[in-house]
Amino acid sequence: MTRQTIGTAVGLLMARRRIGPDRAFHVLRRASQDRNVKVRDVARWLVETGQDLPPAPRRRTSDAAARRAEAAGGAPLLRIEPRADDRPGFRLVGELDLSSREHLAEAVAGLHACGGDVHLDLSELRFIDVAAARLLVRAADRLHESGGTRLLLHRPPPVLVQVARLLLNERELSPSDPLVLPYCPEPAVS
Amino acid sequence: MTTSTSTPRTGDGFAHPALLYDSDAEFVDQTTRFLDAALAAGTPALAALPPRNLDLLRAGLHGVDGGVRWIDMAGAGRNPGRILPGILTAFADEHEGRPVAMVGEPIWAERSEGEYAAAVQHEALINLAFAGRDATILCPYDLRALPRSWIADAERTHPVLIQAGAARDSGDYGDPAAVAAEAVADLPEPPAGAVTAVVLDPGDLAEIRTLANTEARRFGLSAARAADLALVVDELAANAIRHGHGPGVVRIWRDDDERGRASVVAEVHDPGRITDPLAGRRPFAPGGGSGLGLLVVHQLADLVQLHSDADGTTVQAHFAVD
Repeated sequence: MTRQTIGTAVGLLMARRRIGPDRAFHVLRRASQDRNVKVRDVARWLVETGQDLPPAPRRRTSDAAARRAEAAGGAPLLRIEPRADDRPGFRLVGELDLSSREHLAEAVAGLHACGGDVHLDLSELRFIDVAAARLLVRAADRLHESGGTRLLLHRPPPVLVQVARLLLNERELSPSDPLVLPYCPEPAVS
Repeated sequence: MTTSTSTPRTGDGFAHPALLYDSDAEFVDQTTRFLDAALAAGTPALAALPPRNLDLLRAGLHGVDGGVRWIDMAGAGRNPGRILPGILTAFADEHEGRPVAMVGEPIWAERSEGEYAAAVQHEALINLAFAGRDATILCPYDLRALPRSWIADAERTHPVLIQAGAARDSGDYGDPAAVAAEAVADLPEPPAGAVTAVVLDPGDLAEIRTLANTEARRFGLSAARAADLALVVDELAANAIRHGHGPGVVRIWRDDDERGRASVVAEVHDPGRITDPLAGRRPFAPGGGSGLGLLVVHQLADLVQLHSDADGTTVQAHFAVD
């Protein structure tokens, strides 16, 4: 089955690029290495879509990106740093997406209800995706339930406000600094 | 013309009649009857209409409209994919356990072809979203302004038609999921020059966002809207990686529609299939399942066209260039 798919993909590449079978298989293997996916998956994609291989984004898998960032003395996509002051919480620096979500999940799991509020500094968070925003809102609920602790999000990116608005079913939630979770809206005026 | 044919039902399940009107007077007569009956019965009522009809109806109620929720459909419902989660289902959920009466006019003559197709898909999906709920949604269609084929589509998406004061069953009413899928079966092909990139793992997303942002700016979006587009691409591409069982192909281009309105379009295709036709069209519930990413996509984009079948899922998100 897999072998057949690879064969079909090789055939497609031969026809489309007017190359021999060895060259076609090389293209397939190269595409697989560039993208860090199995040859059979690239083949299946070629066969299923009937399209030619789109140009890969200049390569970096999470690992490759981390290695390259390290080699260049650069930073990983997301850094979780201690706060500048001694209030409980941390600072999120960089971008928070599917590749760094687990990192955030571990960090928020380490937050515990305390007497006062927990503060997250988001001023240097350049991107946050919907699932990560949901994670923060859930963490806030957990903290609140376990000890009445509030989660204060300082300088939240606009998308976080947008997602919080949806998550909290609160149409009127306006960008505020800090965004206090759980959000307690003013009593509705009817 | 004085027969009261559009009285909201109560305790009688879901009703979704189309009101085919051919004068302002008929529109006002039928919709005020509908809302008056709802208000008299203490049924929560909502009217989501394009601005002109909003004004007509409010004037028609002579100020006795306490309790009707008024919504500008041209704004809140610009992207038809927002109407269910943001307006109709949200209102019904707010009044859970009670019947609700809503007037919703999602289709008007100035809709672009793409918006129109998405609006038909939405009209069909209303039947799925509200099946078994105690609600009436009356959808006005302007016979004077809309093409005949659009009225024919209304007959496929509404089980009951009200015309010239009389209600009748629609002979063309079709299976909602099938009609919804068919409405957006033929998404426009990206032009040959569309920027293309493939996303295979989470490590690709940062670069795709940068690409999306750069292209969106180059095609004329503001910084804020380019950031929205980048988030939309990120969400769709992340869905492709997590659920698509294969690579996501991202394409971005500038589109000028048949009315000369420009938008930047971001398309993400993956080999996976979305089996839930209402994905991204339910209001978020804390205990609810996934689909939050799609809900936000519908919220951010001016138009979302989503088609999913055995060949995969294609989503095109439009951002208007002002």
